Order: sequence, then structure tokens, then C-alpha cells
Amino acid sequence: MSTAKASLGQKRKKQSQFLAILKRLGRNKLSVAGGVILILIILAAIFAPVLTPYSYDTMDSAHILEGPSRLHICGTDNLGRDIFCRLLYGARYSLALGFVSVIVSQFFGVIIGSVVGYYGGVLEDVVMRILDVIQSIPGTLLTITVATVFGSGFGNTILALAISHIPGSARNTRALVLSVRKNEYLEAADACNCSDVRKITTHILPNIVSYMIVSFITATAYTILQAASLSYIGLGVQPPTPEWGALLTNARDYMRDYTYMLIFPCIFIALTVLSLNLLGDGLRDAMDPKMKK
Amino acid sequence: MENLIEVRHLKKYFKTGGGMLHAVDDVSFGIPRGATMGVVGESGCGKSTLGRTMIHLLESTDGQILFEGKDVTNISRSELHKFREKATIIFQDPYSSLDPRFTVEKIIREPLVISRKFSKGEIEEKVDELMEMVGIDPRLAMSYPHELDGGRRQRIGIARALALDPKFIVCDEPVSALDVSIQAQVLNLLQDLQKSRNLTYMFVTHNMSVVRHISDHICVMYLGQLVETAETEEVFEKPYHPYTKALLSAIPSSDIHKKMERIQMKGEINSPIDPKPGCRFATRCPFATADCQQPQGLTEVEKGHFVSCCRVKELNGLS
Amino acid sequence: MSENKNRFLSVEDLVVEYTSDGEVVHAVNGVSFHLEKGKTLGLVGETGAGKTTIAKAIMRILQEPPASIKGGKILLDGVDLLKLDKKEMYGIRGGKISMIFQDPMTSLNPVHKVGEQIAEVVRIHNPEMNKAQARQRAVEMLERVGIPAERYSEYPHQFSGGMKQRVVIAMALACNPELLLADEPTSALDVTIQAEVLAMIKKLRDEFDTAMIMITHDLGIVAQVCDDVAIVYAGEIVEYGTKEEIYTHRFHPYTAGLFGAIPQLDVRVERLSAIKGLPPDPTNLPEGCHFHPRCPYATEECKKGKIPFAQVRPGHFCRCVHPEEGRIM
Repeated sequence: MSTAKASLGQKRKKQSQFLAILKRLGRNKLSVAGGVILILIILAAIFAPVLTPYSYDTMDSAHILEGPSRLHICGTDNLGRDIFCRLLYGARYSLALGFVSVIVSQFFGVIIGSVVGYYGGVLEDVVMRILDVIQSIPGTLLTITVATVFGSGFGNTILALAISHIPGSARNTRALVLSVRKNEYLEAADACNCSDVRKITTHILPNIVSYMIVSFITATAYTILQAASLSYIGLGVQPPTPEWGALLTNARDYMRDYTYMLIFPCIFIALTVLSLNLLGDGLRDAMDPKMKK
Repeated sequence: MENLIEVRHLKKYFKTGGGMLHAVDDVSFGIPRGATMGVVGESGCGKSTLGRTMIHLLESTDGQILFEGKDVTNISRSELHKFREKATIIFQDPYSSLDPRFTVEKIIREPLVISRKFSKGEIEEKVDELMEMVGIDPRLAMSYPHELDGGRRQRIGIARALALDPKFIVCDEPVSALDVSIQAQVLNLLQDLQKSRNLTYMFVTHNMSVVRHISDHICVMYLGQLVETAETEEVFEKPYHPYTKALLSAIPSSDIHKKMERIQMKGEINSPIDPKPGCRFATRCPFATADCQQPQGLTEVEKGHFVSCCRVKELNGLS
Repeated sequence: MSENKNRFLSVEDLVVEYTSDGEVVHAVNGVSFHLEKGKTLGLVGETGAGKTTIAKAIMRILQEPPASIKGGKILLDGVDLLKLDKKEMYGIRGGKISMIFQDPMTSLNPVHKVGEQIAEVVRIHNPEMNKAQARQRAVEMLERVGIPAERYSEYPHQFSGGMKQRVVIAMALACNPELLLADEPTSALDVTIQAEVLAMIKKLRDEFDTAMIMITHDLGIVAQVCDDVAIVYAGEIVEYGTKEEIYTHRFHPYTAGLFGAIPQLDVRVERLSAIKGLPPDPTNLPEGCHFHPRCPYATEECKKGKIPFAQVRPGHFCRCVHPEEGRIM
């Protein structure tokens, strides 16, 4: 009878753990704001065709370099394209660049970091020194180098950003694994014949996942900025793709007289990065299992 | 009585920057089935390492471990798994020894799941049984360790250790982190379980009062070596090794009429890194002579009372 | 008033609360005791009973907020410490009153030489001393606690745990404090080192005629070091008397329980008599006697009202509705 009670309770509790995180997150006003802004931006990117009557590459020679108006709420650029429309479509590329490259880099980073951190020894020494060498190159420079080698374009930009982030992510994961590894519950797992794979997947990773999610989110914010800078210097996504950085590049020549061309993309980038960071901070606190309320 | 577990010349060295750290150095003793062996000594004497080495949580450098008469020093993976089901450990820190992301029930269930011996239903049944055995309210099954107090957490650690019905448990300072009124509850629980399940304990602690209360036999360790072993009352009533004497004399007595007559030790503690042969206590021993530089071995000075000191007979007026 | 004359330290009805997340933690609930010069009071109780808070309140080093002293008086030589301002307290702390913590590293700065740390304390409280004199005094203190003067210029990490605690003691005693608060000064140490440190504390205490409060849950240390004993439970003193009184006549069930639950070297029992249950939640203390939910002798009377602190034998007080000697749990 008590078994039935226990399994019943289990389902309730498992759900409530997720809910509890959301609840705690909900109490942090700033991260709620961050989350809402982020969701709005993602929704806007998805429903861009519905939200704007224009297409991002339709040129309208009758309306070149027009300031914000009822027709074009963010104005038009030097080719008469609607900037608001380009910003919405641009969100697709910028967010995808950020998320996909971070997912790729975290994927490899976590595998390298947890294996190296768990097993240690010579393997650790070799891998860590290699990562040291890679990391001794300034991040942006490294990305530029990789981008130059692979060439520009959407896929290659993702590749360049992902590669340059793997060392950091691996190092981060390793440090987290090391801090968890010294806990006695891993020794206890040894004492009951727990296999290495099981130890890593059930005892180590779940205990660092909250930190990883947070670093995932902040890394995404940083990567979006980096992607924008890459495009800005002409190495990232190529025109006419409306990536946010590319919009800035375009605005560069006109910013003295047509400041709005620069301001609106900047606002979008800043809002996205800010909301990601706010959400990350809130999540870090909310996912700590020791926070009761 | 027959020994459940026995170690012979067991050694465990660690490689450090400065050289080889002799954490456990040539230790031999046996624990009779159903008995409690208390292992005492000060921090850094290797008592925890000894316990972990005996149950293969650490690999021994040299020597032999015998369990139920069989040599288990170098065993295959599958044999190791079987051995670990019979010989397990309870940890000191009830905070870091439980995975904070696991519920109470999941923690206790883990060894049962890994062993692959039980059906799902059997596992559920066993978990309930174990929780009842150690006195954890079934309502707490879905709680997380951080929601519980130290005493309850230690009970969970005990339940986890008992899951696969072990014969031998290393108790590594299981009550040192607990509050005084809770200590008694956990000590009583351990004693009850020992009786009802015929368990054999190795009780590692620095608390002499606790060890006297719970142990049948005692090993006194100093810097990786066994300096004296005998039945508990023997050690407390008739300590023969100068270190044991100094150690016992240092415990503040709760008898207000008994003044402390502390045997003072001189000098600094030896380094356990690449130690010289000979008695490691000699640098602090008030009775040290040139003979103490020779390697020492345990000698039986009275029946079942072993001491590792070349001057033991002369100092204690024994023949 | 004549009775109060030799009361060097007198704590009267001290109340301390902590506020966290809107909850009020009742840490100290009306504690009173007094201490004469050269005497040692042992505060005995479990973690969370409020022992450390009492000491920190006397030292005026409670973090305020979250802590706040809600009431009471702490009279040291007739001066109420709770009425002093920050600057006045600064002069008393480390000079007239010193505290030794469980973890020596809480009192030592890892980046300064140990000798200089002691000299600095000396200089703060003796502004008339020049550097050389302060240094001289620090060296003297180090030698007093058995650390050779050559180690003056070493850093804390070069000392072992026991040696660090000696440095802390040297620092605490450098200005001849009249009151020493020792908060489990030896529980982090090995038993042989503990014995040395205790012997040293005792010797220095007797030499300087210092009044001392020793916080511990080791009944052996109390027996060997203290003169008076106060048993603390849930922020209240439940039994108080001389060491001889408490060790031979125990009236409060909690005291009896504590003595039965702690394994003692000189008392052999088959089975410890554990106190059932857990210490109470200090945010939600039980009505009446705070111990009644764990007490096998509790009756309806125990569950309400304030339990008086009554004299059961000369100089022996007990906070219990049914005080009785020789109980077992």
C-alpha cells in the first residue's frame, strides 16, 4: 500500500520540481521581464511575414532613406528596404546564429570537459594544454581567423563561432565536474558498483546542469554580439541576408545623417542581450535546489 | 571466532609532490564476524584510508585483504562487484555523501537498481523496508536531502549501505558531524542493526568516548602504522604503547573529581612522506632510545593484546 | 546591591532575534547569568541552542541586521555594553573582552605575518606603545603559548591547526583581557592538541585572573575547565549551577538526557539513552516549556505559560515544572 502511495507521490513531486523552478523564477521581476522580451523577439522572428507587409529584400526606390513613419515604423534604408521588416527577419538569423553555435560548442565542450575532468591524468594534461594554446588567442581574433579560413556565409559563421567557444565551454565544464567530483556521494556511488557512465550521467551532470544552462544563456548573448561584430567587419553573414550585424554595417555609411538606421538595430541587439543575461541570472538562482521557497 | 575480514601487511601509498605518502603502512589485523573494530587515531593517521582500502574504494599498494577466508586483494571486475555488495561504507559527512538532486527514495534505491537482482516491485518493497528499518518516515520518501536534518540524512546513508544486505560496513566517523542528542540516536540504531542483522563493523573515529562505547576491539593508529590492538577494555584499562597512553591521558574526563594527568609529548609530528624505518612515534616519545630506530613489529604482550614497541615489556614491567 | 559587588559580568534578560525572509528566529530568549573574575562559566547545549549568539552579543559582533538585540542588559564592571556606541565598543573589544573562535582562520588574516597581527592588536589597545614595544609584547605572547620567537614572521598557513589556535589564543590574551569568550576553541583539534590548548588556556586564565565563558558540548571539557555550568536549550538557560551541583544533581530532564546521550569515558553503559525527537525550530518554538515535545515527563502544565527559573538547591536553578533529581530518559 505504501508503495502505491510512494509512486503516486513521486509523480506529483517530479512535476512540482519543474514548477517550483518556474515559481521561483517568477518571483524575480527582472528575469521575468527578460524572459518576456526574449519570447516576444522569438515570436516576432517566427511570425515576421504576418507582422510586416514587406519582404526583407524588396527595394522601393521611391522611399529611400526615409525616417520612421506610419508606413515604415523604423524607416527605410539606402535601397528603400523597410528596416523594421529587415530587423524581424534579421532576428531569425541572429538568434539562430547565437543558439546554434552555442549548442554546438556546448555539446563538444561538455563532452570534452566532463571526460577530462572525470578521468584526469595524462589525458587531462594534454587536452588542457591544447585548449590553453587555443584560448591564448583572443576570442574575437580566433573567430575572425576561423571565419577567414572557412569563408563567410551563415553556416561558416556558425562553425567559426562554435569552434572558438569550445575551449571555454570545455574548461568551464571541467571545473564544474571537478567541484562535484570531490563530493562523497561519488564515493558512495563507487561503493555500490556504479559504472563511470552512470556516475557522469546521473550524479555529475545533473548537479552541474543548472550552471550549464546559465552559461548557455550568457554565452548565447555573447555570441549574438560576436556574430554581429563579424558581420560588421564583413566576415559574417553576407548581404542581402538581414542579420543584425549586417544591418549595422549597412548603416555605417549613413549614420551621420540617418541615425535611425543605426539606432534600431542597436536597440534590438541590446534588448536581446540584456534579456538573455537577466534570464540567465534569474535561472541560476531559481535552479539552486537549496533554495526552498 | 573466525575473522570475517582480515588484512595482512596492508599498504597504501600516495604519490605526492614531495615523495611517497605512507598513509597506511604494513597494517595487519582481523575482525571477528559480528564484532565491531574501532580504529582510532588523530587526523592524518591513515584511519579513513585504511577503511577505504579494505573495501576497495582505494586500491592497495601492497599486502593482502582476506574476506570470508578468501583473498580479495586482486579480483576481477565481476568479483569486485560481488565483494562491494558485501562490504560497504557509511560516510562521515551526511551532507556531501548524498546527491542533492536525488530524492531520499532514489538514493536508497540506487544500489538495488545497479545490482540488477530485483524486479521493480521488489525494489519498491525493499526501499520501504529499508526506510522503516532505519526509522525514516515514509512521508519523507520524496524529500530532498537538504530538506532534512543531519540525523535523518545519516539514517539515509545507513539505509543505502544496508540495501544489498552487506556483511561488513566501514563506519567512517558516522556521528562526528551530528549534534550530541542525535549522535546517541544514530549510535543506538547502528548497534540495533548490528544485532538484528549480524553485521561486522569497522568503526573509524577520533572520538575515544564513542569508540569505547561501541567497539569490541580497538586498533590504535599512528602515522599509518598500527601501534596497539586489543579488546576495548584492555586498551582503555591497560594501554601499553606510549602513544596510546598519551592519547588516553589527553581526553578530558567527565568525572569532576578526576584531575587530568596528561602525558606530555615532545617535539613535532613526523612527516608521513617517505618516513624513515623504525618507530614513527619515536620523535615524540619520552622513552625513545636508539633501538627505536629499528623497524618495529607487533608483538603479543598478553593474550590478544598486540603492541608495536620494542621497549613495551621493559616499560610496563611485563615478562 | 552588596551581592552584586563582585559580579564582574552580568547578563540580564538578554533577548536576541534574527530576521530572515520575514521569519523571526528566536535565538536567545531571556538569558541571565553572572560571572566573577577568575571564574569560568560553561555554556553547554546543542548546535543552534543560541550559545554562540550569546557570546557574540556580549562581544557586540552580531551582524545587525539580520540579528537584533531586542532587550536585556550586559553589564561589564557596571557598564552596560549594549548602551555603548561603536567607537567605545571598539576600545573594549580585543582589549577588555576577547573571543576565541572554533576555526582559528576566522581570526587570522592569511596575508599578514602572525607576529604582526598580534602586535597590531596590542597597538590598537595601547596607543602609547611604540612599534618596538608592541613587537616585544607580541613575541612575549607567542612564547607564552609555546611558539618560539623565530616564528614571528611566519604566515598562518605555515602553522598546523593546533599551532594556529595557539596564535589566536596569544592574540586574544595579548591585551590581558578581563573577559575571555571561548567558542568551542578545541573542537576542530585532535585530542592530544586539544589537551595542550586547554591546559594552556587554563594556565593563562589563572595567571591573568581572567573571567571566561567556555562554549562547548563536551562534558569532559566542562568537568576539567569550568566552575559554573549553564545548560542552554532553545535560547534559554534550563539549568544553572556550579559544576559540582550539575554533575552530581541533575534536575532538568534535558540535562539528564544530555548526560545520558553523550558517551562518556568514565561511565559505561550498554546503550545510550537518546533524547527522542529533534531540537525545536527556532522560528516556531513550542508554547510553554520549549522541551516539552521531547520530554517523557511532560504534563499539561508544561505546555503553556512561562516556566519559572526556580532554585532547587542552594545556588542551583532549574527551568522545569516538575524538577526532580536522578531522572533518566
